[in-house]
Amino acid sequence: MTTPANDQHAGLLDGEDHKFRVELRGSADPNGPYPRGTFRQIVTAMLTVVMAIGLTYVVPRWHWARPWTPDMDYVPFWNLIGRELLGEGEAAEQVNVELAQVQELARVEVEAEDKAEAFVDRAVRTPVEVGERLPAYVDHPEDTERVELALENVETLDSFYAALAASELGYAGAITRVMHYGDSAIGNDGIPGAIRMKMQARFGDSGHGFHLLGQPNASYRHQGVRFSEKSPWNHCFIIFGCREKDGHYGLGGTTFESVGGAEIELSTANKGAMGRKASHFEVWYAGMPKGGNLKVQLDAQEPVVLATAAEQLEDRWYAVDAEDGEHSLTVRAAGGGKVRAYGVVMERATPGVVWDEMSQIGALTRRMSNFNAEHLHSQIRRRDPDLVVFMFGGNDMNTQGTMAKYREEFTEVIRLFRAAKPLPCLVMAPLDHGERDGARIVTRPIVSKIVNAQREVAKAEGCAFFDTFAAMGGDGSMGRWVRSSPALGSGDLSHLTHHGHKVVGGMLYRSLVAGYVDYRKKNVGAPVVLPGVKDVAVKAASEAVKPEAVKPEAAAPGSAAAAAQGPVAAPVEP
Amino acid sequence: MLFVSFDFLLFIIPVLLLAWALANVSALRVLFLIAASYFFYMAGPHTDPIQPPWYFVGLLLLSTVLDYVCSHRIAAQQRRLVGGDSGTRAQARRACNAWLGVSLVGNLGLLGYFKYTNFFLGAFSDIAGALGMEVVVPHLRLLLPIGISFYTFQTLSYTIDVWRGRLTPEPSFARFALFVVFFPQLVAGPIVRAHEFLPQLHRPPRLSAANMSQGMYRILCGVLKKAVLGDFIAAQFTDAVFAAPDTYTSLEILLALYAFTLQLYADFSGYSDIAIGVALLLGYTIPENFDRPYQAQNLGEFWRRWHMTLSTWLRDYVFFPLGGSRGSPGRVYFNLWLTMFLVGMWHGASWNFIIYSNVHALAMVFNRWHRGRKRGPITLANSAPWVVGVLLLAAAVFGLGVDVLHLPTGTAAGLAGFAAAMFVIVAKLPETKAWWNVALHVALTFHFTVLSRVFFRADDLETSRAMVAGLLRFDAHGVRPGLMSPLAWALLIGGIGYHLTPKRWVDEVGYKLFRALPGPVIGLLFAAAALAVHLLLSGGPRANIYFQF
Repeated sequence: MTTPANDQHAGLLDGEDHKFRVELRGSADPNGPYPRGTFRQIVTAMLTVVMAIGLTYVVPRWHWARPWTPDMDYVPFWNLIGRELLGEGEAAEQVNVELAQVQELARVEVEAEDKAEAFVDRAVRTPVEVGERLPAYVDHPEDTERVELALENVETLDSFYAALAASELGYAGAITRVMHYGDSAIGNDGIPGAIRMKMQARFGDSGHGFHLLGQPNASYRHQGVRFSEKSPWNHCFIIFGCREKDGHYGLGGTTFESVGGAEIELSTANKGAMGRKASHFEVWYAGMPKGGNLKVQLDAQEPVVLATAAEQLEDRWYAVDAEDGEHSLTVRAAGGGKVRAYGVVMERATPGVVWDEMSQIGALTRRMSNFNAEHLHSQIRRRDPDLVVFMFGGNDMNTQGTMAKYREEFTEVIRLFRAAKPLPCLVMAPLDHGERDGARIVTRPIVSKIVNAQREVAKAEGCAFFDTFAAMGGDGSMGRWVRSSPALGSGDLSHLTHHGHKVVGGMLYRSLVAGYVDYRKKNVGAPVVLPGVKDVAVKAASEAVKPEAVKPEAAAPGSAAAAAQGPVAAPVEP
Repeated sequence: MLFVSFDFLLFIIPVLLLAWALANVSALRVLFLIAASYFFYMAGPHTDPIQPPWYFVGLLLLSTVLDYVCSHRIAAQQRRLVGGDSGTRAQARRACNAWLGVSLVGNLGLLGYFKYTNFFLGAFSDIAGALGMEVVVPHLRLLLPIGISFYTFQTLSYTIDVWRGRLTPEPSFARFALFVVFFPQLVAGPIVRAHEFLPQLHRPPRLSAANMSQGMYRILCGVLKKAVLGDFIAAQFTDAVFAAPDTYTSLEILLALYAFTLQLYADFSGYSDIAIGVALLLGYTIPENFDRPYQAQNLGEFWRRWHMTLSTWLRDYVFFPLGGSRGSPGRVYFNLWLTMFLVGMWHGASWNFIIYSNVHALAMVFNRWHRGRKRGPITLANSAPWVVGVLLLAAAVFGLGVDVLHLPTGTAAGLAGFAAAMFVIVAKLPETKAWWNVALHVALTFHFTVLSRVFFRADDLETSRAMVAGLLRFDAHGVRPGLMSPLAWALLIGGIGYHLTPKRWVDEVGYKLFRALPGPVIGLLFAAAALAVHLLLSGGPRANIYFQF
C-alpha cells in the first residue's frame, strides 16, 4: 500500500508509524540584531491600521465605522475587566441562570414528547342530562407545576372552561374545539402542536381537527397527520387577496382548486402519542356554478363522487364516519369542471380536545378581514369552536402604521370572527423579535408597542390575553433564546425552534390550565355544559348542526355522485 | 479571546512589539509569552451565554503541572531501566506505566467529566428506558472549559512521547508551560506536538521579513475566510435552517447543508490560518491543519486533509498502538473503525455524533476494503459476498432510517436502496485518472461529507430527524425568493468555487503578489477587511465553531 509521502491521494491511515527521537536540550542563545527591514513592512502596516481606526474616532461622520463604541459595546477583555473589575458578572450570570431554566424546560418538554406513548382513551360517560352538576374538583398532579405567567382577563374564558370540564369528565359528545389562528409564529404546527399534545394528554384526544387540503407553503403542517399531494392543487392564500371578488377562502384561509387530477391523501399518525385514530371525516368544499366533481375515498372503500355544481357559490361539507382507528382519506379533483375545496376535518367521537392549527404565514393581522363575513361565519358555525386564539403581530412590526390604526385593525378582525357566534377568545402576544446592535441582540422597539396594543384590544373586546413576550423573558429574550443550547430561537431572531415551540406551548398550557382549575373550584355544583352550547337543553336543540349528527343529502338526481355514495357516506348540507 | 475581534487587535499589537523587543532575551520572552497567553485565555469577550470565569484557567495550570511532573517521573524511571537487575527494571517499567496512567487518568478524567458526563448519564437513561426501566438521571450544569479538548491532547502527546522514549522531558517548566498555553493555538488548535514545538523554544525565534509577510498573509486570508465565508453565510442562512428545519423546503435544506459545509471549512481553516500566521509573527512554526479537504478523491484522503493535527494525533496515538495496518484484515478494520469513531466522538458527546462517527468510520472501512480489494470480473463464486454486503448495508441503513431517524418505512426503504446503489456504483467506478473520473470521485466524496454534516451541525437528534425528513420529502417548493440575499448566494458559490481552485494559486501566486506590497497598502487591506467584518457582521464575529469542542 502506498503512503502519504509518495501518493497525494493516500488515506489518513494508509501509512506506517514513523519513529523519531528528539532530545530537548540547549538554550536559546541570542541571535544578535535582526537585519534591517525585518519589521519594516509589518510595522508600517500596523501603523496604517491604527491610524485608520483612529480616524474613525477623530472624524465624527465616520462614527459608523468605529470598531468599539463606549456605552454601546461591552468593554474589551470583558471576562476579566467587565465581569470581575466592573462588577457586571452577577447580572450576566443571572441571565445565564434564567436561560438555563428555560433550557431545562425545553429539555423536559422534548424528552416527555419522545417518551410519550399513545394516549389511552378514558371511559366515556353517558350523555349529560338536564340538571347534571359539576362535581368537586379533584387535584391533578400538574396543579403543582409552576405557572410562568398568568392569563389576563381569564374570567372571559368561562364558557371555554365549562366545555373543557365536560370533556375532562368524559361526557359523551363533549368535544372542546379550539381554532388557533396566527402568523408564522405558529407555523409548522409548532406552538399549537405543543399545546394540543398537552391538552389531549390531559383532557382526551378527540382527533386532529381541521387540515388544509394541501400545503400552501413549506411551513404548513399538522403534527402527526401524514399527507402526500400526489398532484398539486392550485392554491389561493388569503394574504394575497386572490379571492377578492368573493372572499371565500375557507376556514383555514386557503382555497384549493383544480380542473382535474389534483389529489391529496391524508392519514392518521403512525407514531407519537396523539392523533393515531380517527372516526369522523369531513371534506370542506364549495358548490359553485359549473363546478366539477370531487372524488373522495376513505381507505380502500368505494370512492364517492361529489358533484360541486351549484347555482351560486356556497359552502358545502361531506361527512363520512368509520370505525375508530387508523385511516387514510383521499380527495381528488375528478374533472367535469373546476372544483374548489378548503380542507378536511379528522376527528373522533371520544370526549376530549381538538386544537386546530390555522397558520397564516406572512399575514398581517388585517389580512383576516379579507374573508367574506357571511362565508366565514358559515364556516365557523359549522366548526362550532369553543375558543378562538389569535397570535398575530410578527409581520405587523414591519409596517409603517400607527398603533391606533393597528388597534382598529385588530379589533375589526376579532369582531369579524366573533360575529359568527358567541365565542370566547384569547389573544397571544407576538414573540420577542430581536435585532443586532453591535455585539448584542436587543429587542426591537416596536415589540412592546404591538404587545401593549394587543393587550388593550383584548381587554376592550373581552378577550383573555397571554403576554408571550413577557413569558419569554421580556427585553432581549430572543437573543438569549437564539444563543442557548439547544437553540430555542431561530437565527432570524423572529421565530422559534422546535424546542422553543415546546417551551412556549408549555407556558400557555400551564396558564390556561391554571385558569381552568380556578374555574372548577369556583363552580362546584354549576350545571354541566357541553362544548359549543350554553346548556344541555340548548345542546339537544343544536345537535343537528354537529358533525356527528348531520343528515345525509342525496346528490343531484341522476348524477354520478348519487350512484357512488357508500352506506355511511353522505354529502351534507351547509 | 476571539481572533477576529477588536479585543484581539488591542491585544496583539503590544504583544508583538514586546515579543520582538525581547527576541534576544530568551527567559524573559518565554515568561512574557506565558503571561500573554494566560491573559488571552482569561480575558475573553462578552458572549451569550457567557464564557466560563477566568479561574477556569486553573485546569490549564493543573494539566501543565501534572504532565510536567509525570514526564519527569517517567524519565527518572527510564534511567533505572538502563543497567540494574531484572527486578529493578521490572519495577521501573511498572513505575513508568503508573506515571503514564496518572497522566492519562488526570487528563482524560477532566476531559471526560466536563465534556461527556451529561451524555453518558443521558445515554444510560435512554438505554434503560429502551429496556423498559425508568431511570431518572441528573443533568449537571457543567461549563466546558474553553480549549480543553485541544490542550488535553497536546499535553498527553508530550507525556506519551516521553514514555515511548521518543522525547526527552523538557527541563524548563517555563518552556513546557509555554508549549501548553501558547496562545495562537491554545483554544482551537492546531494541536501542536511537543517534538514539533519545544525544540523551537531551545533556539532563538525565527524572525525574518519573509516570515512577517507570510504571517500577515495567512492572517488576512484567515480573517476573510472566517468572517466572510464562515460567519456571514451562517448568520444569513444556515443558522435559521438548522434552527427550524421543518419550515424549510427540501432544496433549502440541501442548500443549507452546502452552506454549512463551506462555513465549517472556512470557519476552522480560517482560524487555523490566523493561528499559524500569528505564530509566524512571533517566530514559531505550528503545523498546518487543512489541505483543501473537499478536493479529496476518497474519504481516507479527506481525513488526511481535514483537521490534520487531530486525525494524525489519533492515528499516531490510537491507530498505530492498536497495531495499525498490521494483523488480520478483521483486526485492521477494527483498528480503523475505532480510530475514526474516536475522531468523530472527539467533536462532541451526543447521539448525533455517535451516528456521525459511525457513518464516517464505516465509510473509512469501506474505503480501505475497496482500495485493497482484488479486482476482476464478477463470477458466481465471488458475487456472493457482494450480495451479502449490499444487503447488510441496506438493512443497516433501513434500520437507521426507521428506528433512529423515525422515517416512514417507504422513505427508509428508499434511503436504504440509495445507499446500496451508491455502494455498488462507487465500488464499480474505474480507477483511471481520467478527468471525469477524478471529478466524479471528488464530487461523490464531497457530497458524502455534505450529507453527513446533518449530524455534525444539528443541535440534537430531533433536529437531525427533521433535517433528514425534510431532505427526503422531495417537495417541489424549490428555494423561495428572497430567502438568501444575492451577496449570500455569491459568497456561497464563490466560496465553493474558491475551494476547488489549485492550492498553488493562493499559497504561491497570491502570496507573491501580497509580499510585493508596501506595508501601508497591506495596512489598508487589513483595515478594509476589518471594516468589512464590522459591516457584514453587525452582531460581531462569532466564536469559532471548534471552541465548543
